[in-house]
Amino acid sequence: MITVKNVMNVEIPFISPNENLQKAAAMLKEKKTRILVVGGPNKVLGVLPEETVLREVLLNKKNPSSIKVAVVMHGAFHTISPCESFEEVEMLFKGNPHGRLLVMDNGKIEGIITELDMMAAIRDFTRKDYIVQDAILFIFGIITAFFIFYFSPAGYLLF
Amino acid sequence: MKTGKLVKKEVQVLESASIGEAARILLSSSDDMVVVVNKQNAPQGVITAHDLLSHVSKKGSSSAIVTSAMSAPCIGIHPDTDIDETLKVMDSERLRKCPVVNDNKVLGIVSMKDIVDYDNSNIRFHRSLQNGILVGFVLFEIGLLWFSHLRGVL
Repeated sequence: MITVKNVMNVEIPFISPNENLQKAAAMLKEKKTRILVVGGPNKVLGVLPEETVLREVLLNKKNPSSIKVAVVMHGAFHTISPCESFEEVEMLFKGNPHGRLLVMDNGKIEGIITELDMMAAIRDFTRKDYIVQDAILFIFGIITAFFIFYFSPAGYLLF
Repeated sequence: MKTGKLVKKEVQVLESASIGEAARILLSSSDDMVVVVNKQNAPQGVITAHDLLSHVSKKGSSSAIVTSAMSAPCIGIHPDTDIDETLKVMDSERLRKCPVVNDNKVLGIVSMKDIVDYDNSNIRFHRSLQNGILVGFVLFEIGLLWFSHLRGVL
């Protein structure tokens, strides 16, 4: 069974709540991520999705160098345990508009799982499953061919 | 399977629009990018969330013209590219959607979800086929063993 631990991304992009949105925008771009985790490995204060940065600066026309991350971050965020099954992730993503979950274990962050990670995992899993089934089919094919030969006149002469 | 088979219509913005307008369109759509077109509807480039973040990190204004932040010429996938190759590009660029471009013309966009769904439905069909063949083999072998047992061959 695939669990969250097998799929999550362990490189967590942290940002301090005292940083400004200009720095946050640069970090989001540099780390090619869509979300920053506000706080540190032992204490997560919130999350800052890229949409929030763009909305605050480009739509609400706020000055990115004067707005602190702590002011606009989302204090409420979706979390999941690293031992949860993959089906649980799929279900949670249906109700998660940003398509990202923080993987937390006993209040400590272990990783992030995104919709992209989930899609990549589904893809890899189904492909591996397909290859395994092909191998089983091949073995059964060989056994069947052997039986057919065994009961054929040529097989009767040989065995 | 070619990427061109899974192309869908893209979201557009005029080249004279502001970055604020492009951001509004981008944030209100589920796409990861907006195609910048001229008055003749010819594509001039694309603007992604990362282009906008780059603009914000340089303290750019939201009233600046969209062409100042767009990626041009249109970066994207050729419609004849195999979907596996497209997925690799999307994985490395962390994109959920990607423009399909031919001769610097945007044909539309392709989404990772559509590719994965196509892939999965294809694999599900083959898996059902494999299951059927497997059951056939097993039944055939059980039949042979039973037959040989009756005849005292084995």
